Amino acid sequence: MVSEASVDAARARSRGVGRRRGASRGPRPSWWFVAPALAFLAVLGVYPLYELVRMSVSDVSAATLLSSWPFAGFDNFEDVIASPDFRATCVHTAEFAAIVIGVGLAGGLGAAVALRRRSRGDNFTIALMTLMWALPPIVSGTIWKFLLTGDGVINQIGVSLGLLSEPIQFLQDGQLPLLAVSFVAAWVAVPFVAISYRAALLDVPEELYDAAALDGAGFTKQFRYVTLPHLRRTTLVVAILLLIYSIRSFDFIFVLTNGGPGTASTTVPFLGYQLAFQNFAYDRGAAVAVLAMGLVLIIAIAYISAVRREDRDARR
Amino acid sequence: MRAADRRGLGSGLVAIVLLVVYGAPAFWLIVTSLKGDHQVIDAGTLIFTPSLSAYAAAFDEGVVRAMWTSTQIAVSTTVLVLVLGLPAAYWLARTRSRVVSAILFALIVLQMVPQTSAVIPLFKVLGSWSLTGHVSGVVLAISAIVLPFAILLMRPFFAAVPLELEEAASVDGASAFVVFTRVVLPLVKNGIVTVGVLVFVISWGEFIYAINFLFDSSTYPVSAVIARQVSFFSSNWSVLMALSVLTAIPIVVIFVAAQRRLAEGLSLGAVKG
Repeated sequence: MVSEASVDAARARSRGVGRRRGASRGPRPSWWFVAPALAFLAVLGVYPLYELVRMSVSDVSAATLLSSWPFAGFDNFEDVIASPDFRATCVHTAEFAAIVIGVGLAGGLGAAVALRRRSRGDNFTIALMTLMWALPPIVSGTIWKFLLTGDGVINQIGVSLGLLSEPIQFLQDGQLPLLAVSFVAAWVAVPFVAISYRAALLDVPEELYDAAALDGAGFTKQFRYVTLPHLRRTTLVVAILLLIYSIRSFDFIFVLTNGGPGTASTTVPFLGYQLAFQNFAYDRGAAVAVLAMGLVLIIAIAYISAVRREDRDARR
Repeated sequence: MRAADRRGLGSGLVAIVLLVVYGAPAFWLIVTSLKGDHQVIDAGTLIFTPSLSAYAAAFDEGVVRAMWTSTQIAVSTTVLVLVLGLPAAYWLARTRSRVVSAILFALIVLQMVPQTSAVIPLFKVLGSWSLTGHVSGVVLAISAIVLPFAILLMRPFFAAVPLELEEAASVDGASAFVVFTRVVLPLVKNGIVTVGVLVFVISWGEFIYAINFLFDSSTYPVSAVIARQVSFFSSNWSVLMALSVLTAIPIVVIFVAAQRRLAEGLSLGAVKG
């Protein structure tokens, strides 16, 4: 460990020299610190993406997966874009993301405000929610399948209490499967949002509430004019994280509906997976995955520029 | 008095709803795992004779071996990701260069790649290196998707370490590597615990790589065992719930043990990072 004396000495030295801001005079970590991670990611992160793109413009089946692939131009993309399944899954992806972001933000903010005190009860509920967030998705997905399935818990209780005249086929019927998988994804996301908002609520200076109370503002007005403006940055960051999460989310679709019935609850990245591993059409699956990656790239750029803009505003 | 400290009727109601919405699924998970096969048909009922027959069935199906495989996967992934990720995050926090922004952008993109997209080429890449059919292929695949996330989460922790400490140590003649391991790492314990726990939890629950890269279902980790059962023969609920409880236990233990460091780590990494 470093002694306090040497820390003081370092401070005195840096004052005396008046060094340039940010220029460290300590031992700079060399390239060797970052090289292994970069090499690893080049081989197992970037190279597979290159292979994915190559696969999407080739003719690849289960038989030819490990041999050479004949070039096919944009045939796979044309096939995919022309199919009604693909267009339907695009709509499903947007609906899924809208529900996850809407329910996630509203539920998370509601939970953070309702559980804002540091009482034992509030802390217990937050801990329980955090635990549900941390459960392996395969476990939470299995629980929800048991709750939602035709002869599952919710239907049995609903029917025996006389609330339902007959069981609701949450995982079978029309729009319900997509709603069900989106809801479960949002259920898992709300605790994370609540923790983020709870931390942000602590950063609101208390004097602002006192001042607002002196001016006669009640709870609703204080929330509207003091709390909400302070949550802007958190809301922006969390909303984008929720968007990324909904694009990537497949666990609950896999467990609850496997995308069905038909393609009723399939999102774009899940369609790519199904084409490749359930229909063994690796080339068309790759084309869908490349389109999904394009979407991801757009979101990444939007994310970075949004965070930069917020940081600039915050510094002003 | 600060209005935010007053608990209105609305807040109380929301708190109760949250307790039910998050408590009831956990409650039913445990209750159903304690119902014998013949009792589970009445999914809603709470009147039953508790039985451990579902757990016995899970043990007969080889859950111990599956959990051992999960442990191997989760521990190897966590160690690999920390060994590669910690120095990289430190370098990215302490270096000022255009290269840093380029690497950060690449990491953000790699972090966002949907696993369902990555699994398609990885199946071919790992297959051509004969790494499919073995847990090491699964470990490499999970590490590739978690490492960017771990580096990005870890970087703010290193950035928060005062430079003076490193300068003082180097004046005493320590090399960059010694400064990193002896001075810097002990100061970012919360970050290491946060990242380590999250990587462990993610790799413990991962199943899509395991299902596709391991050909023999008797070598599956427990998450993949559940995934196979729930999607193909989703009838035996009590055994599935027993498997789920067993899968959840290590996660619960780790979360409770690391709770305090996690609370700090999550708020710094997730929102401010």
